[in-house]
Amino acid sequence: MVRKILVSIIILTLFIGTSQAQEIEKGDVFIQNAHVITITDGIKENTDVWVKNGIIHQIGNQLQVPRDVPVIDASGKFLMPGIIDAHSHVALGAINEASSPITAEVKMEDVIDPFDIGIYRALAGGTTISHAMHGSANAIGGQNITLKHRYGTFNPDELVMEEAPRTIKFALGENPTRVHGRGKNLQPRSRMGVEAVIRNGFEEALQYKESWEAWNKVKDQKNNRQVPPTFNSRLETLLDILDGEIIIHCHSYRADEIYMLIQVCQDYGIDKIVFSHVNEGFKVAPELAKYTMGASVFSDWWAYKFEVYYSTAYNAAILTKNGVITSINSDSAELIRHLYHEAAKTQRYGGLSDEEALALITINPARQLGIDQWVGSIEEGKQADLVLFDKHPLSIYAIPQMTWVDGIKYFDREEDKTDQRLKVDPEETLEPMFLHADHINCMSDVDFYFTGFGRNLFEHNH
Amino acid sequence: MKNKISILFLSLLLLHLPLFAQIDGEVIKAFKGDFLLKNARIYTVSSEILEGTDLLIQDGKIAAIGKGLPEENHLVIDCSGKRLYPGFIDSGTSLGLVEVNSLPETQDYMELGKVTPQMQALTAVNPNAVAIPVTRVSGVTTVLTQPRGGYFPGTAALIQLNGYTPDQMDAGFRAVLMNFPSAAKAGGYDSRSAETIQKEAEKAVEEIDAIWEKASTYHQIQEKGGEVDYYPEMAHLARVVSGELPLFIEVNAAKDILSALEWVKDKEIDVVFTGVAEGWKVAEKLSEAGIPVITGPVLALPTRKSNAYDSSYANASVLQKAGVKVTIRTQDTENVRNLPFHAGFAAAYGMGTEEALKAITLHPAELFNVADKLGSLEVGKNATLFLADGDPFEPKTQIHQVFIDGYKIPMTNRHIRLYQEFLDREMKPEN
Amino acid sequence: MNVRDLLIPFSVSCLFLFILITQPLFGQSDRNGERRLGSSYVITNTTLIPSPGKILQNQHILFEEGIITAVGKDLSIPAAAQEIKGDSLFVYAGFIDMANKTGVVEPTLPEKPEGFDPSKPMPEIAGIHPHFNVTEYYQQSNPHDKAWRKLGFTLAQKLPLGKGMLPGTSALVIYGQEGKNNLIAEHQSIYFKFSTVGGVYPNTNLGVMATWRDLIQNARLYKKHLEMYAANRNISRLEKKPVLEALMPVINGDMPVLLEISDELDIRRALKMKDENEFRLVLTGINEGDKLIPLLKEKKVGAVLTLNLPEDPSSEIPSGEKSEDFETRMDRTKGAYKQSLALAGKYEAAGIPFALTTKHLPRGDFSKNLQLMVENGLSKDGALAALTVNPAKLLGIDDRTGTISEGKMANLLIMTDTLFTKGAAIQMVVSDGYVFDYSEKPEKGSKEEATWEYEAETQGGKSTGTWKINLSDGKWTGTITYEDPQGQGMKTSSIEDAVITEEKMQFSFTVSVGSDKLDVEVSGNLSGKKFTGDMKIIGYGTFPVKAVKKDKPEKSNG
Repeated sequence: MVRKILVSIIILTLFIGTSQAQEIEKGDVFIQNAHVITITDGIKENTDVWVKNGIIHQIGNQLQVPRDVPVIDASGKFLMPGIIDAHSHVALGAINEASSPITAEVKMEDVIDPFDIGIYRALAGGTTISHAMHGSANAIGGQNITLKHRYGTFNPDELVMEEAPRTIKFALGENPTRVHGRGKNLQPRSRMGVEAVIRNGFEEALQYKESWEAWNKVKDQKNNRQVPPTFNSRLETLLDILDGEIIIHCHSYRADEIYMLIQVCQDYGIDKIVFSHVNEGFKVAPELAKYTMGASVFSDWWAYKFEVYYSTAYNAAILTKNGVITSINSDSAELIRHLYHEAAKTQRYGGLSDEEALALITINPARQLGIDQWVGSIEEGKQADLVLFDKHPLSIYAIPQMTWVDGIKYFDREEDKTDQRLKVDPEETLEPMFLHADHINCMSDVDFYFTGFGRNLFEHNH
Repeated sequence: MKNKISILFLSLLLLHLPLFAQIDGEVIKAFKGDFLLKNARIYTVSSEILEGTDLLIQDGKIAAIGKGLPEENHLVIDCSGKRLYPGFIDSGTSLGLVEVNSLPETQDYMELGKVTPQMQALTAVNPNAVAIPVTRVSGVTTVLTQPRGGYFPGTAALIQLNGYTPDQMDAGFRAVLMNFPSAAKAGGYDSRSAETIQKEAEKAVEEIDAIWEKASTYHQIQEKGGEVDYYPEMAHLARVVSGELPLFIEVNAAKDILSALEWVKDKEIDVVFTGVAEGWKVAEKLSEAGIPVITGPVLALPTRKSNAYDSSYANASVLQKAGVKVTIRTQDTENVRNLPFHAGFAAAYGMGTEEALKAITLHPAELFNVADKLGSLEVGKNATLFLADGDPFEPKTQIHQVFIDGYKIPMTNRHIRLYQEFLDREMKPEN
Repeated sequence: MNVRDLLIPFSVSCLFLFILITQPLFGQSDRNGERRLGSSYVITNTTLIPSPGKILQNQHILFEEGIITAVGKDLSIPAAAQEIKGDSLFVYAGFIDMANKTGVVEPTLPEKPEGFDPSKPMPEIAGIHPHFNVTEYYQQSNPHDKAWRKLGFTLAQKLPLGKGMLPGTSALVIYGQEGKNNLIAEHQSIYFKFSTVGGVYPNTNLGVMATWRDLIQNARLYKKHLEMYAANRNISRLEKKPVLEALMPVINGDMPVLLEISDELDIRRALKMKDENEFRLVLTGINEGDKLIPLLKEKKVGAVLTLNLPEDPSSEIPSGEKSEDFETRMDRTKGAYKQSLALAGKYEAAGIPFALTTKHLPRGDFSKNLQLMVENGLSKDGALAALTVNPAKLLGIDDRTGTISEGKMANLLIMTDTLFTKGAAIQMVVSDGYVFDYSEKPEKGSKEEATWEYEAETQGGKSTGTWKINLSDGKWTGTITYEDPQGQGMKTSSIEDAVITEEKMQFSFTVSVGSDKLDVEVSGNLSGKKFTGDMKIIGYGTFPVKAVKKDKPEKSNG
């Protein structure tokens, strides 16, 4: 038996070994007779969805079954678009470059970890896209990366959703003031300082731009006496934000700090901004609706730190009713496994309709990530990221049965093997045990600044 | 007398107000009265579901259950189309012991020292913790609140989520807690060798054995009428040795569960295992030993990377099917309100709604020796129950009214008040 | 170091030959008799493996002044040549170690100034000091290098130390005669690794990648400025930036980056760096990632695999883990272990001429690990190539070493049998023309001591104790402790008739039980630090016994 398993592992790896560095795999599938929750066009009963080469080719009743395409009998089941998590740290080898209050130059795409079992677990919860973010240690953190959960590849680049626009992490409030102000005696130490750091960053970027413009003007002239300026990718990135090329996703909690950043953005003509967590977003919902690309919130997290003490689980409902583009995110390797359940909580806390609740985890996060033209709903021409539930996804009893990304089935509850790790440590005899659900979070990689503070500061750090 | 009248007046007034409403400048208080809950679907838990049945609350107790009970002078609440459930019991929380998780000043769940069994959770329960009203409107009426840390962190107390003093909240149950030393490699940061881990765990068990031995000796001396020094730690543990207080042993790794089974084997004490995250690996052994289990959180990651993705969801079910008496906890503080969802996930992943319901009602009541008062809807039991417009495990369902010990609980809390204020805010930005 | 020096292409082209003339004695006699008779040697009638895959019989090898002057069957042997009789010996090219750091000390970094801002540290504090030269921190003729020489290594690439991402430039040294300057080349490559000092920027791989990008851009701008300044002194002067200066040979393609990785994701990052800003890349420390082999080949990346293989997971299965899921998991772990062992073979099969590094490798594991690679797919010729000709090519010194032919450096390994033959021993190592004799002689006074902890399963249950075994004057003696059969605690007997080889161990001892005496014989197999065998109690039966050699606080080279 052991030998058999070994041989099959070897054969398997040989097979994968020959298929490296090829195009991203796209699939065909014909899903028959489902309740199709389109998100943008209501629920379609007894409907077929035909996926061709990774794209939703046709949606309709009793379509002609194409040849040579796997057919899934989805009678009585619910098909919805793959769930999108607008705030995640799954599949990352590092989270925080916490060493400076501004680290706009760092890129999460440099540290993608395709071996993270969290990707598979997210798929098993119907989540097909996650926004892999820098942590919240810095006022301006690093550039995030939008991932498609193509679990099984060893190549980090194959997880990247190529179409997704650039995004960057900002963070306000307790985390940056604690890390830099308290931890290192650097600004910001207060919410005033956070504003100053961000404004200083933008102003420096503008000066930088000027120095380069001046250089570029004269560099090829004869008798040029000017010397080349220094290159600085941090300021380059800030300029790209000012040029509207990057969407800001800002970790924030309190209404005052949210309002502050809205004003800063207004001053600099920035309108591509999404607020994340936003526990007090409900207090400035009309402003969020008017000036931003929305808010990405927790369903019910609160009281784990002081800045979330005055929260309400009705946040998503208030935001939605005020016309804010609202999504529910996980920021957790655990919650990402049941975002459909997190969305359902908005029905208890504020009575959102099925459509409103499901938009929170599909089309709305897609809009916030700038990828809604490709994903976030079931429409012909969109990418075939799909999840099939046995019951209505907002029911507590719903269990995801199959999950597809680009028409390729990456999860099937029927075929689920216990051990889904892609890679195993050759020396591991004693497998570590994880009891705390949220061991990876916004404040990972910053512990070294706080050895004197005691561990319990880090139990809840979102 | 005057008090009674004003409460009556207030209650009459309130009954005509819509859900969540408040009087300007007024505070809604919980109040006691005779309530006739008419025409409900009653989930008794202990027996069958009763359709179109009335339930009478009098003197804080369930005075009658039956069809067409006379209205008399009772406050009548029409429950048509709605369901009545016994209040949910969370068998492991820190509720009341901490206000804001990251602020050490508000953390009262941990005392210094490894051996502090006499530390009383009930002492530190803040009856006005903001999380308490947030929790109870979800139908969670009763929780076990626990100290943490060390070998013997303290004594947990069962509390009901209404009252102005800890004594008023006391639901009449205590358990001494113990953390069983783990021989599992912890998280990604544990760089100890397999051998070191094993040795350290064994050494810790030896230390516990020595303490236990001391407590046993203390108990024997007491039994014989001998004089003992003031030694509150041992005096308290002696109550466990004697069987007066139960011992709740927190143990999670499969290997540790087996060691813990070995440890309790020759001890004639009342034992419950808590946590039991890897119980599914050793369910048969737990069943054979006949030790009840409090497990949770259900909504948790698998304990090992190589485990099936749904192993935490299914744990309660596997244990229950193996014949273990299973109770579910959230191990949370501010989100104890999610208890029905934890039970719901356990139900979906194999346990079924009926068993999952027992795991947060009757089973914990039995485990905590309060089944004569809580855990099911039966005449004579405490009127600790709630009214819902559907399956309370379903997020969509609204909980309409909660009663604790006959007190009609105001269906509001800070979350709801913020909703009421900000849903349609005044002073909006100009267009 | 001035700027003009930096513009001269480095690395291989600046190999310099050191002076081979004997030091003048200034009238002193060689009072301790340490001088050699001359620099001319001949190995006669030997079996020669000039390069992997070739075997020549009855060869003479003549070398003089550190250079091989002739190889062949019929040579005229100068009268002055000292003869090494090679009849029963096998001569290989001396081994070359890549990315080695023994004998190198860490540089002292500047103190953090008052009011230090960790977000803007000076480069040296941030571990960014590519301008540091390893030769300034390298102690020649250190005991570690000598010990490695005893295993056949004659030349090594020395890495600078430092906690950060750019510790400095590497150098090539020869493991030659003490007292000579054995430096072959300096500024041989820029050493890069994915690591940080901690607590300052950059602190994670995120910052490291970003820092590299900025450094490269700014090195280009620096070059531009330099060119402008050279052409026109009428502009503001170039502020000296040693970090950027040190990177200029990299952007010019004159110096390779020796990039140390610890897993396959690091390899991906390295390839990304190369794709973004082209440079010559040599990866070292490769321990996994067989899927990347074709990509490395395509991109012409130099590959250095680590000899530091993982520990065999089956050797330490924790007690009390016997469940079914544990077994399944262990199967995967063992599979991964096998894959690690097979990696070198896969590189060979793909046609990548990879080299090996001993970095992090305990010396005692060298032969064993090389053998494991060979048992798991690497050909013997491939293993030899990975230690000789391949690193010579990677280092650009294959015109002078890595193989044996006329004109090459006299770096030789002289064995009693062919490599990988059981029992083959190193007789001599010739390094830089100096002969180091390691032939086994019953050395007087040499001592070796080991303590073993054993566990035997006897009828009476488990029995444990220790063996203390000493080698003294070529003879093994020692003591054994065991539980007194009569329950009087631990007892000790002396070990008799001990025979210990690399693979086997046997001895006997006597136990007194009252007036009776029990004769016990222990025999079994050795594998590294583990012993498995039987304990035969004469007249009573045979019982399994296992033992583990206790670690002495051995100095690590890692």
